[in-house]
Amino acid sequence: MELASTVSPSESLARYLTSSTHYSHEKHLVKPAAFLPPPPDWRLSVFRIDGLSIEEVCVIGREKVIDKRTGRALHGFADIKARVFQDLKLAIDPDNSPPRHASVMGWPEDKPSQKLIAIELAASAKLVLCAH
Amino acid sequence: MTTPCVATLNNSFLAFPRNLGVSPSAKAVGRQAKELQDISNQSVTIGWHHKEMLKRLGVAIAKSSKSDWDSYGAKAVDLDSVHSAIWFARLLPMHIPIPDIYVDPDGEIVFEWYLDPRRVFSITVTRNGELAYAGLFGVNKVYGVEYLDDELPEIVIDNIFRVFSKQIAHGTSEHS
Repeated sequence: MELASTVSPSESLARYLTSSTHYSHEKHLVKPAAFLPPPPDWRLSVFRIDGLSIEEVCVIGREKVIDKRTGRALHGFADIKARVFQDLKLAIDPDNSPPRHASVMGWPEDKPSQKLIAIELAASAKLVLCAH
Repeated sequence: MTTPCVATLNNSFLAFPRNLGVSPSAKAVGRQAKELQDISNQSVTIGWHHKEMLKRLGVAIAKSSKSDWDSYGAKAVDLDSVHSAIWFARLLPMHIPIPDIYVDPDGEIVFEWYLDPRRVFSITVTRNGELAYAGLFGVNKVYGVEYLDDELPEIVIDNIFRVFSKQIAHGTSEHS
């Protein structure tokens, strides 16, 4: 499946969950921690996952996000529509490096605003766990 | 002389205001306050709340002691934020549910009260000793910054309770 050069609002994006703090296993929910942008450039890494099965999405996460040398596990991913980012005035740059990768940009610089956006994103995301 | 005696409803009585006095009397009062804190910490009911929080803080620090602990390039936990977080944890009254505690990608400690996706209040204790907070309560949103001092800012306490207000109204309670 060939991806469009721009991300449409209805597209599904995956934010990989690389820490147990990113979700609640008990409540089966994504936590705001999963969407806090990393310094110094505040670009949140996501992948475009339309047309992929859950297992295929998990494979990309293991191969492209988790550094196998560290022995870390991929817990799963937050499944979220591009529209949610766009409604919060964030921009999505489909850089396709690695393939299917995109960066969420345009974050406010102050921490309280970043935190509020992360909370709102988590509230609209669906938790999908990957089998170990 | 009287600084250890000014506990308020919104503060833990384990958190006496920092004693800035230098006189022999002030030092004696400081020692007595410390002894009282040590005794309280040994109590199962009083000490447990604080110990559990320190335990969660310890787990969070251990998970993020090296940079890139999240595979996204996060900074290692910041020691100034840890020191402020220990003080912040001491200020939390024991009738407040114990929060989730984790480190954010910037290396700063987060205390988060989470009931469901639309009942969340989150505070980052920054390396500068500020409390950067945000919360979602249904459709209502709050965010801002307060300075960490000898007392918890009222807005912080109010918003923590706001997360659990429906539960309290229905006579149930549950830790996050």
